[in-house]
Amino acid sequence: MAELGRDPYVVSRPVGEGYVLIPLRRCEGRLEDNMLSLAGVAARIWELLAEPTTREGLLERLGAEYEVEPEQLRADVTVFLTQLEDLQAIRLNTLDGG
Amino acid sequence: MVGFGPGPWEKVTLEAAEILLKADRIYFRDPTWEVAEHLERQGKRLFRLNHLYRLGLPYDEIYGMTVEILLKSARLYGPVVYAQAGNPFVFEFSTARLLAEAEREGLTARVVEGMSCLDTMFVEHRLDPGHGLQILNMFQVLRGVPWTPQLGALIFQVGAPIVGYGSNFLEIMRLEARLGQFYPAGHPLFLLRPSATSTAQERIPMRLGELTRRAEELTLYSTLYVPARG
Repeated sequence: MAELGRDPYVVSRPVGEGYVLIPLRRCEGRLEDNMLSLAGVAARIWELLAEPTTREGLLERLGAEYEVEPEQLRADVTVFLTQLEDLQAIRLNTLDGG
Repeated sequence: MVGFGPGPWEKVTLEAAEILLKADRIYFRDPTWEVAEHLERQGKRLFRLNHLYRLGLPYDEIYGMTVEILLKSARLYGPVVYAQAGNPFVFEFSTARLLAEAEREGLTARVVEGMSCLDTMFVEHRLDPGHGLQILNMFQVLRGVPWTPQLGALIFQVGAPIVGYGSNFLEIMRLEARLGQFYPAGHPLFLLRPSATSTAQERIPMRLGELTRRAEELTLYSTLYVPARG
């Protein structure tokens, strides 16, 4: 099992009802290529990633907050987390025993 | 933190020029300065922070993000230079914060002074602060800081409410009302602002009572000089 968390080299702030993210590991930290806006569920996921969690923990929280089919939720969250990982905005730490 | 002075490369101190030309990563809040263009022509790589100002966040938040970006970039990529117009300790509120945060995080930070906008104004407008001069920013005046009309005053960033806060003319009205508590109607004022066509500043005469009506002439880097009351 992997623990998910924000990469320590991301600068993020709430903007309106969403977030802006600047993953400094990406694009050598060049802001013009690097500023991301998150809204809606994406913003909520980022909010939840402020504390280390697991994918299952994240799905459980989101499942309780949003009316969506579990499989759809899992698929959408997986896509989003993969995008965040590609952007070097999140870290995955493998937990013992999983 | 390196102050590059009023903008032209020839106004950069030798110390600052040497640091800028040797730096690997130079951050600019505003990349439109002539110094930035000069450095790019020298093949230097610039990192632009002006995008932060498009987020619509309060200035304090933007300063906080700037500090965080600089410190994290330093940890990630090595020494960084934050190039700042003028003198980093003159009307540059991120400097003290950056120093404090760097110290707190165990990072080495250093400030290299540059020619501030005050130095330029003293010469161009023949003001000697030795005779007494009040130096404030727009928001301090609006907060009602003590005021001495017997001394001249420079009010910086007088255009900030217009440029930075979405055309807030009400703040200009408040400024004019505040000045009206100390000066008669028609008291001379001078709007000092960077010229679009030269390195010298423009000096635009105004009178107390006209400021609100002419608020659109204010730019973010405008300064209002209020001569002492005779």
